[in-house]
Amino acid sequence: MRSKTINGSSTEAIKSSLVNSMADGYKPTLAIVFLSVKQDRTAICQLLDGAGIAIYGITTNGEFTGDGITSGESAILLLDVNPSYFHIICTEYAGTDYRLTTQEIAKKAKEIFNNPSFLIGVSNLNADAEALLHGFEDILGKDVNVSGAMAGDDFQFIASYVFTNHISTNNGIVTLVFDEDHISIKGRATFGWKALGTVRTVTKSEGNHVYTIDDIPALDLTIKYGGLENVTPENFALEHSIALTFQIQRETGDPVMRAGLLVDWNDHSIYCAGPLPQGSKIRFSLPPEFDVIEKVISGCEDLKATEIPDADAIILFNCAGRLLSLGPLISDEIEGIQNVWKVPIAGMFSNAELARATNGNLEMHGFTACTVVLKEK
Amino acid sequence: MNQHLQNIIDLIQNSQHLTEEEKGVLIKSAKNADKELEIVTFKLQRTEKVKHTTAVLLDETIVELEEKRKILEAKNKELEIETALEKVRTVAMGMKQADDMLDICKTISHELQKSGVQEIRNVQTAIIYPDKGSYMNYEYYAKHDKTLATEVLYNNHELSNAFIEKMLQGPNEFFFKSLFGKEVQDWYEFQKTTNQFVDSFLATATSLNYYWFSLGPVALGVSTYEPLSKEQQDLFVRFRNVFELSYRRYLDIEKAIAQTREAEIELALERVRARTMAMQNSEELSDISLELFKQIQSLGVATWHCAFNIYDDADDSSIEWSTNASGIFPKYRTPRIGIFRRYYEIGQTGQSLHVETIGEDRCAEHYDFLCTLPSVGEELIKLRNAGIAFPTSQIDHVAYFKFGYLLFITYKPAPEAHDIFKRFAKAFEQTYTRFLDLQKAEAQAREAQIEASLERVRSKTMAMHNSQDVGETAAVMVDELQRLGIETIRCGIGIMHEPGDMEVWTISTDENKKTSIIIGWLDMNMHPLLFGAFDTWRQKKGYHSYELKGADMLNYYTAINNYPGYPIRYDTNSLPERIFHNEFHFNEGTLFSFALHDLTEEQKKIFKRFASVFGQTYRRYLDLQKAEAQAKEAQIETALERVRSRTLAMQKSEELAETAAVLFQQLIALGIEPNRLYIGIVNEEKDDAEFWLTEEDGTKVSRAFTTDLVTNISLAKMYEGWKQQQKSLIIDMQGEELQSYFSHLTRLGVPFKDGLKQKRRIQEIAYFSKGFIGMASPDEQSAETLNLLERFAAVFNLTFTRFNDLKIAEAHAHQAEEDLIAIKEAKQKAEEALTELQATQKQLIQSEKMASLGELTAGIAHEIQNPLNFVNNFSEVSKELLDEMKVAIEKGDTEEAKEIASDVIQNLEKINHHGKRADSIVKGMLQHSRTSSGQKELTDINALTDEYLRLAYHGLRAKDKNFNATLKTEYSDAIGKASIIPQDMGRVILNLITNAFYTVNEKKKSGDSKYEPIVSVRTIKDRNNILISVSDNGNGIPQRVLDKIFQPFFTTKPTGQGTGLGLSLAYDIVKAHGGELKVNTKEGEGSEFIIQIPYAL
Repeated sequence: MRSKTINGSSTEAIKSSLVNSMADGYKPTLAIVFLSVKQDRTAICQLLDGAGIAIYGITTNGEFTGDGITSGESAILLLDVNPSYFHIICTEYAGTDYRLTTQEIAKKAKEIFNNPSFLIGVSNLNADAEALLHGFEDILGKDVNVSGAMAGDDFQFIASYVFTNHISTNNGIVTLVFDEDHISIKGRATFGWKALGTVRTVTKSEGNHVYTIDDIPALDLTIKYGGLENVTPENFALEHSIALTFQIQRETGDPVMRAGLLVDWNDHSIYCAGPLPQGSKIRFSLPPEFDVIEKVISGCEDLKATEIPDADAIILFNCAGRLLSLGPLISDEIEGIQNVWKVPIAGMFSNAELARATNGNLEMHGFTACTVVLKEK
Repeated sequence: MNQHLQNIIDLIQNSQHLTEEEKGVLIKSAKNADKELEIVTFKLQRTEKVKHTTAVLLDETIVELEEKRKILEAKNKELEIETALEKVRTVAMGMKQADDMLDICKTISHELQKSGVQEIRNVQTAIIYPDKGSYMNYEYYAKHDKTLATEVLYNNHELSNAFIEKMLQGPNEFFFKSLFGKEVQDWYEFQKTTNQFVDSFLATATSLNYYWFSLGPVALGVSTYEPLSKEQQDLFVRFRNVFELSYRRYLDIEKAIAQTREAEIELALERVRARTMAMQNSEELSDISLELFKQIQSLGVATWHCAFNIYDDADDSSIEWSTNASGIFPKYRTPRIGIFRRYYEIGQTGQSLHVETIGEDRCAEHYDFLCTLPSVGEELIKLRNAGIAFPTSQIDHVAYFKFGYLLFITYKPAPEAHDIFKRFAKAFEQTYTRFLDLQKAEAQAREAQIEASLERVRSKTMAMHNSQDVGETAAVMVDELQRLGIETIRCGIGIMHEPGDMEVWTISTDENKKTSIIIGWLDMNMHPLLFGAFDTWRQKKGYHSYELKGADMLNYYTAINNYPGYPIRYDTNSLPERIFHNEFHFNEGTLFSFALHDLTEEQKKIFKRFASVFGQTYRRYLDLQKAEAQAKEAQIETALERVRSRTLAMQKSEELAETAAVLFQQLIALGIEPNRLYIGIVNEEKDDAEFWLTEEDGTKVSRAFTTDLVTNISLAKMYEGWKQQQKSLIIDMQGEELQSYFSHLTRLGVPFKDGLKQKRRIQEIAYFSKGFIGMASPDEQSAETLNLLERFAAVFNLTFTRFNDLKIAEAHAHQAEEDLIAIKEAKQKAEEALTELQATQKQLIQSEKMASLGELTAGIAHEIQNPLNFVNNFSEVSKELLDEMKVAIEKGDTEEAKEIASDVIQNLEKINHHGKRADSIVKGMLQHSRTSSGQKELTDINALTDEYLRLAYHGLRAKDKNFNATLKTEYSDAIGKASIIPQDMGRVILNLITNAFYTVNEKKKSGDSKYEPIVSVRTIKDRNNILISVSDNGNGIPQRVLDKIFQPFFTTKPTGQGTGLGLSLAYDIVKAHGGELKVNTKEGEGSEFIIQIPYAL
């Protein structure tokens, strides 16, 4: 399986890149499309569809290939994988029963492949991503191979989309099912945020809406710790809240990150990327040291050494928070990961990452670099 | 891009000296530098932020750690306090008595000090006694290291008063007072005046502070030389709380101990109580005194002696039962002297416990006194002799109860046992009362038993009928005496008879408890025992006793054995040593007993009661006998009365036999047992008698015969007695006389049952005026029987007199019967005459009817004449017309013919009309003459009235051409129809109108030319009636005849003109209609007759 990446700021640019990539007789069958909501999704889908390419598509908070990071553009990973080795399902959620949605998908996948693995894209920030993950587990067991991300909308937090050739939805899931008997798919999620300060308690919350922590409005704490002064809706930026991410403390395993995304200025509450149940014990966490990038890369080297020495392509779901926290350093990270296998890489900055954490549970994470490596067997 | 680097790049690019390659390298380097610069800048910025955040978070963490440290410190402090509290708790838990509070105070003081409370003066607890105005103060002075327990009065200083007042308000009260400077010194000076410890540190102290907390039963306080901080006060409160819990526990334990003690006392009391409950008699008080001693000892009260002293007021002393360690004393009497009198008198004041200390000075004297007393003295001396020393001093505890007191003697004062002594007295009183009640109940039960026995004797006695029954009663009495536990050899009843006899019924019981009755007579002069008995009875002394022994006893039994009147015989060889004889007299005799032991007082009382009961009922028995004799007499009188009344009921002489039968029945009912009863009626003229006699068993009169009274000797004797007018006669027929009598009567057809076998036949004859009543029996009869026969003969005399009267009456009755036949014949004739009369009357009524018909005939004829005239005239005219019609037809003038024909038709119609009219008149007449059908019909009264008015008028006119009268009619349309019998009512109306016409006509004839006769007929509707009024202005009806006008056959008309039945019939008819016929009349002015018929017929 050969892979190539193309990118562009417009449909035309994508078209010309695609033509160029196929000039040598290369005939991709599958496109993993990361694009901005600003792009003409329909035109790009028509373009790819016209070229006989199946689409796994997801909107981003910035996208990248080995050629660099862009924002408001498109980055596409093309693969000439045997069409019988994969299947794409794009569907809207069954009401709010997210678990049922993925149970149905898992059942279907099982009908198609004996040994399916999944790459998913999830739209709508309010969707219960963990329920979606559990739906796969319900049908295929705890060891099911799933990874993916929550779609972005260039940090607007209004509407994000997932799509395939003819379907596009801001309240659904796109699932790329691989036949793992033919395609190896391995992932690793790494984050490096460090908790600091005392353990605090979420005293009031509803789903991902956090009102108070130790009876203090969530935003007020963020302002206090961020050393911010004269904060107004106008001068408060996302990176401020991102800089002080909540870590849900757990008895076992890594803590789960919950970044604040939106502020309700009426009561200084914060909407997080993912639920934060009332009563949860949390600590504030600081961005990682600058050497976290080395850690991510060394994690990939470890993956290469232990699980998948060769690869055909790399997909990287990188948390948007990381972009904000690591700034210009992030391109070093992408470059470093690509250099581990030296194969094309494409990816996006996502609202949340859906993957197996270090000790094994399938969960929704934040501030994670989630690397997915593909190799045809 | 960094501006400086941009400038550099610009310079490089614009450089003329560098090759493009060089430029490229340089620019790339510059760009890399820019990137690196950017990264460095970013890192710096971010590091700055993180630094800030870290600092804040670290600060917070430090604060949190500090808080944690403080909490830990507080916990440690708390732990120390808890340890201190635990120490106090441990000490307090170990508290066993009030004095232990000193240790608690000391521990609290130490622990407070350890917890940092300095300048502690003392820690104290106070148990308050409001009734005494004091409190028990247990205190520990820290600086003096001194514990003290002092009872402190609190009413002598306002401070202590205020403190106690607050504490007494209840648990959880707090009292605080600080004294400064001079106040301290004043307090110090005051303290010196009390019995309290004087704290020398107060001399130099500038401040004294009291903190008191109430716990309910007790207060805990601390005083300090410097005021306590709030925290220290709180700490002290915690000590207080710990102390409270422990103190309560102490109180609980104290309570439990008290309860245990109480249970022990109750158990001891219960044992004494139970023993007393089981007491059957007072002698057992000895055992109970032992129990009392044991139980008092078991309660740890060291007693030397315990006793029951029960008052015996009758003897002005007491009986005492007592026990000491040496054992039970025999019961003894304590005279009411000396100490015993004093104890008694104190008890009478109502005191429940008296404690008397008998000190060494008088204890020996006391025992000397006791040793002089009978019984107890002896026992004490025995003790002394046995080497048991008397106390040299002692304390008597006298616990009173209703019937005496308990005495507990201890060597030492035992104030803690005072209550126990009282309780024993009380418990004993309850059970002793119960014992007395029980005794009373048993006495009552015994009494009930005796009463039941007496009742059985009484009822047996009540049932006595004859002297044999006296023996049976005596037997019952012996049974009952045995049942009551009285054993005798024999008992009996004796009825005394002057001058010196006794009728005896003796009941003796053999070894097998078999009783036998011996009845006899005794001469009361035979032996002193009997003589004494008779003498005491005669003197009404009630009781006599005698002891038989030795020779006297032998004499007695020998005399008895030899006395013929008394059938008992005693074996004089086996007599006991002594026999006790007792007699209990009653009015007529005595109840006696012979026993091997003398009777107890109770037994004597019982005997006495038996004697009394027997006496009473014996009198009743005598009364009964008298009453029975009276009853028998009444029975005889009843029997005689029956005979008498049967006699009086005799209607015919034939009934004499029946009367005789009644007589015989009554005799038999009275208990006479004859072979045969008979009556003989003597006919002196013929020397014979007519006999009625019964069957041989006397049951019924079976035959009658007549025989001469001369031939047979026995009959001749009977006749002779009659002739001599004897009252009665007894003929004892035997041998030949008897045979002769049998054969004489057998010839007369009288059968004898076993006739000729009879060897003797006694004839008892009672005479009456015309004959005799006889009774034949095989044995002699009692005088009573003959007396009965005589009384019956007297009554039968009456019978026979009545029999004779009847014969005369029967003759009279025959005459009366013939008279009756004659009367009946007369009556028959009278009835026939009456029938004839009635027939005549009927004829008369019919003739009246016919007469009125006659009156009508003329009217009817007139009425018929008119239609007949029409018929005749029209038929004649019709004939003419038909003739004319014939002519016209012949002429061929059909028109004319037709006209004539229609005239003829008209005529024929008229003829037909008048024919019918005549027909109806005739029918009406027939109807009138016909006998009334008696059927009521709804009839138009106005029409009926008018019809008869016209008939009457025309009828009169036909008879008398000159008659004329003005007819006035006034018919009310309202009256309508009424249900009447029209013929009958028509007849009434006709009669009234005819009468009216008659009377006005008569008046007219009398010659008053101005007189204008008027007859008015009116019908009127009354409320419920129809009134038909017929009035005239004739002469009226004279008052003298007015009452008679409705009588039959009364008439004012000349003879032959009226039957006199008209108005009478009219009256009857109206009455039969339920109506009234009334008349109003005034002489000379006229009359009005009104028929009043009710609608509702």
